[in-house]
Amino acid sequence: MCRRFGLSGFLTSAVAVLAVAAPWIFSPYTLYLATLAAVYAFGAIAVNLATGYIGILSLAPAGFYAVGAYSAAVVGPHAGDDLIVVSGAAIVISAVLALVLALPVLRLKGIYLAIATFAFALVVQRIIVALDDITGGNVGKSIGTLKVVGWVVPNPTSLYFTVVVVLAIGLVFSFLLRSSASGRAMFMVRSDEAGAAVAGVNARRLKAVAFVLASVYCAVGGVLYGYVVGFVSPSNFDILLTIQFLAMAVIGGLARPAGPLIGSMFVVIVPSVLSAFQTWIPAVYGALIIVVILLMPGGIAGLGAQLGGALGRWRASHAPPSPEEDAEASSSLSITEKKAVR
Amino acid sequence: MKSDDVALSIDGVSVQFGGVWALQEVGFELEAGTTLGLIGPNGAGKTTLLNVISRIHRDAKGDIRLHGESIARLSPHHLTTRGLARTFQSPPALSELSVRELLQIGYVAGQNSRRGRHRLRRGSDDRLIDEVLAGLGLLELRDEGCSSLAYAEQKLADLGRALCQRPSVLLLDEPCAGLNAEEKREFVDVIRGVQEERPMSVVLVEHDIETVLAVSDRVLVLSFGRKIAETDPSRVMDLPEVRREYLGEAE
Repeated sequence: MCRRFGLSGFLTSAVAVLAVAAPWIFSPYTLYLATLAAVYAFGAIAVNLATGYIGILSLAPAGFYAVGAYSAAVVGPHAGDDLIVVSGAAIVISAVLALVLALPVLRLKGIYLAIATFAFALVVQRIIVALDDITGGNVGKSIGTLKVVGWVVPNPTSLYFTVVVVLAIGLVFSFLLRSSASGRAMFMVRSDEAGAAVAGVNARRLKAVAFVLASVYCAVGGVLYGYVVGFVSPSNFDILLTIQFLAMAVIGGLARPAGPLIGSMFVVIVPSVLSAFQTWIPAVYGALIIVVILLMPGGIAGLGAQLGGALGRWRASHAPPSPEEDAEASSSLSITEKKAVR
Repeated sequence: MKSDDVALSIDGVSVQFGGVWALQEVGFELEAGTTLGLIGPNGAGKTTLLNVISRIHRDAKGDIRLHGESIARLSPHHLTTRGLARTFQSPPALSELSVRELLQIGYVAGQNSRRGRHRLRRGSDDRLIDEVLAGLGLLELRDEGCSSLAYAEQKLADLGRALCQRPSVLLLDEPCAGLNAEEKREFVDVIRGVQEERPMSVVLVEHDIETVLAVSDRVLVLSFGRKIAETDPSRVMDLPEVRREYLGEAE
């Protein structure tokens, strides 16, 4: 437990320090990528909540992300492009849509749920195209400059920090959720829904809560995405965006609160770091993802626990049990052996 | 027997699986604070009966009353708020939860029953959870992930989760499978310890006949979905069906 927190805690602090120092150590282009990574991280958090915490395989994130981005494009001009107002609108719209969708769709499981939620994302895309009078249709629509309660966010650095602050709030909330009673119940639902019900957990309601929360994360991410990129078109929100969110969540470490942040940094920034490989970027990048998935089932954020566990097993198998090491080795002994030791 | 003293009553419960009767007109009454042992050969319907009581299996005929109130239409998660707890034959593999977190789930489920909707306050649950963990010999493992435990320990953790609900009726599904003789004795001590402290009724499904006879106040014998006997533990071994099953005696 301590070891697990040790490494992932260290990683989180390192990322936090890097996040604050970024504008002064990175080139403007890398800073833009970092902003984009932070904006994508909302989608990864959403996947982590829905899929990592409670086990709903949803392909709706791109749809809700589009709801957020188009809130910026459509509501923004009428609301003075204020972050609070636009986000508020996006949150309300996405939460209502998610709730309406959740009621019938969350009765499904696994691949059936995935297809049904994918259909939702498709419908959102089609509606955006169909309402071309207000959304700009396939041509897309440009988005104004972000304001926060009257303060015009003047340059890329302040936009970056605005995004980072909102992301930090989102991350803190997902950490709190992880250690709350609802968070624990979600993890039990993921492992065994019938068992969770017998343990007093209202699985259906909790799934709806997780689904709505995930959708709200996507919508807020979408709003920020709109203001960072400055232009939206329906093709930005296809299934590939959802797959990217899934990849970020899994690479970072599914079910670990820090996972989405690490994963989104990896997915957005690593390709640009790999620019030395030039035309081979996609191949090297793809190979890296496969290596991470194969070697780190807990993702990058789960590396600490993985190494800790391996170290414990190595110690248990190599060192003769001395009194100091009994406590550490105890987890790998059976109950009877342990009692004999005691 | 006054009706107040009946913690759980089952009346005429029948379950059909594709033409086969898994349970047929089974009924019993469980007096508050006592233990009912449920024995019978494999396929007798013991686990099915527990599934019917805990409402995992919902297509059963008949009535189930918990403290006099019918629960035959409730969802499983409602039952914890009425004092029912249950353990599993094979505990769920909870890869992301520590032992303490699993017990906290049980604690929260039990809280709902006494104070309406309740939010877990930091620290308020630690004492009870540590007590239960200590009673089960799991205190040192409380921060371990549930799925990293040995099988017997996982079953104990699942029992701990159920005990943290502070249930008035506890259903145990083969709690001793996979436990050695010493662990079985410890298990019996844990259940007796709780029952001495407060009235808790137990339905015990168990193949280990010695444990059943040691813990139970009454023993119900099921065979092919039918109740063939309900008697005192001291007289169970006199039943010819039981002798055949457990001692391998010919008629």
